[in-house]
Amino acid sequence: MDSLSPEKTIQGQAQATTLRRVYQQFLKSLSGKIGLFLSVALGLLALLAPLIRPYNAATARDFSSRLAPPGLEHLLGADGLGRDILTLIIYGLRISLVVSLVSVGLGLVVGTSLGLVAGYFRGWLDILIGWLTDILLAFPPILLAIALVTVAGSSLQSVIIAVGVIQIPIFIRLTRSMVLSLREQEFIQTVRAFGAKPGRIIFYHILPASLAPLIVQATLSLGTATLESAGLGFLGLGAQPPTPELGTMLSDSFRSGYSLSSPWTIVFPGLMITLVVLAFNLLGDGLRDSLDPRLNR
Amino acid sequence: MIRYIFQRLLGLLPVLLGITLLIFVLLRLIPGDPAVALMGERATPAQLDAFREQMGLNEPLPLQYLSFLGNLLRLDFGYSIVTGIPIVAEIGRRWAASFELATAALLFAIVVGIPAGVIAAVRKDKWVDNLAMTGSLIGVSMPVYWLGLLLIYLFAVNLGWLPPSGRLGISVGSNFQTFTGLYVLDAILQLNFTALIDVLAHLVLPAIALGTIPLAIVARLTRSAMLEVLSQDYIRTARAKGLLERWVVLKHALKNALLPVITIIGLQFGALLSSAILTEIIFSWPGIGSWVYKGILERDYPVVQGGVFFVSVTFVLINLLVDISYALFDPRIQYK
Repeated sequence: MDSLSPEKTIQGQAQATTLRRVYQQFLKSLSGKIGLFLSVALGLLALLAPLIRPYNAATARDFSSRLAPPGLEHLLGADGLGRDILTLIIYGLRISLVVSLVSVGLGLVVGTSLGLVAGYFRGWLDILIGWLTDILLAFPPILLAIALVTVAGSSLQSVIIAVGVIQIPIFIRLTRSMVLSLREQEFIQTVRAFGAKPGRIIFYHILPASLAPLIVQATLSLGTATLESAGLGFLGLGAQPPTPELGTMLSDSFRSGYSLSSPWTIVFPGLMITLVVLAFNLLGDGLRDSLDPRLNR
Repeated sequence: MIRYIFQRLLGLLPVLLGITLLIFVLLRLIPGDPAVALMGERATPAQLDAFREQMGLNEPLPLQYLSFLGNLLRLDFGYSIVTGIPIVAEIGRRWAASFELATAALLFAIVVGIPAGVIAAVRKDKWVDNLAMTGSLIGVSMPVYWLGLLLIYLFAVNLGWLPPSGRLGISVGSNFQTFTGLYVLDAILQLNFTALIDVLAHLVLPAIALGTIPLAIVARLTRSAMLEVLSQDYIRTARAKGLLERWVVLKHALKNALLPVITIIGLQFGALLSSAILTEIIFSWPGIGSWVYKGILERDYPVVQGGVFFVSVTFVLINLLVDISYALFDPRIQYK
């Protein structure tokens, strides 16, 4: 990794071998394999939801089967409005995946850009960005997210923005520290000596070399983002009914007291959240083992 | 060292200023007029205006911010618009509840997590290790409030072993006095053992729910720190001397593996104190997180201002304390 040559052909070859090594390493990691399998399975389930849904998520309210326990008609039971829980959690999964992917994407792009700028140019920009990072990190994440959603108004978009904002600082820190160590390395100094402009150095040389830890962090952040967005939903700040959102389902069940009398209304939505987070965490662990050989234990 | 501490404290000032600025701006951005929200839709414009005047909401924003800062410096957080109770008094009471819960949760995490991590490291790749690591992975993947709801369903509703919510039973509450706000301590000081048992019973479920994530983190970190230490030369020497394996693990290895674990415990404490909002809501725990959340919903500006400021300052201070103690305890760390 650290012997990346500025010449394209050698670089290409090095990348091919690196990819093969990463792939082989990844296959060795059990958690990585389980995580990949789970993520792909959940992703497919979400994508194919309209094809496999047993009922219509938003509209199929069958009051005769209100709070029906799990059985043949409703595999995982029905909620307080007589909606099929299996259908609801499959749709909830879709929303959950979209929210976490978009918000982490947002945090990754903004955080990485700020981190690149801070680490490469240093000076007052670095001080300013560092100050912003410190302030964002001073707030407990969930509290900051609640405040942001309150300002923006309860909706799915607000949740995406709020969860995205609280992912930013970690990507700033990570990228900045990567840039600081990379910019002094010989291959970067060589490129600079050849007269490359900062933009070129940053995007063609520093960013590719910092990708591995960023990918690992992004995967792990997908897990926290899922938990945080579901938490906001639980507080009633996320998607508004009748949109089936996993956290909102838990909150409905808790507030109506069904969590005590009809436990299936909480067990399955929570299980789905746990599965999603588990998938991302396992995948992140596996990627870390294969992408970052220094951390191998 | 003193210079290092001083520098770190000085570096805190701009962050604190930023915190106050962000709180102030966010609160002013929340849609809706607090006067209308509190006086009701039917209040006359004159009533609304009098209310705004009284609360200082008519001043220009920079002036409002400056008076907000000035009040913070005098530790004057004002009064709750909704209940009229002074914020400082409320913070004191709520703080004690949050502190007690966070301490209990962390104790649970330490008492279970460190032994689990040690055993997993000693039995690396055996079934105990796999079980502990799988368990901790699931632990960090679960929503805290979900775990809380399941615990309530199982242990409070179905088995009836433990109370589902609150800090104190009604029957005990009538003849129980609080001095410190920490009920466990109060019960011990008064030698009131019925109350002590009741208070502890109320703590169990929320502490487990809140402590699960730190437990998982502590166990994983203890394991990896132990694995690193166990491969060191001085451990081989200790074994070569013929010391009992148990002695080597507990005395030589664990002692040296604990430093990173203690750091993470400190950081977790800061996080637990401030982010227990969801756990507090599930268990009707009268802590600071659920109070601030209620303040946000009711647009109770002083509550949110004071509460969030207090929470984030504690968070920053605890993290600083952890940093400094880290530098104190580990002579290898250079501070300049």
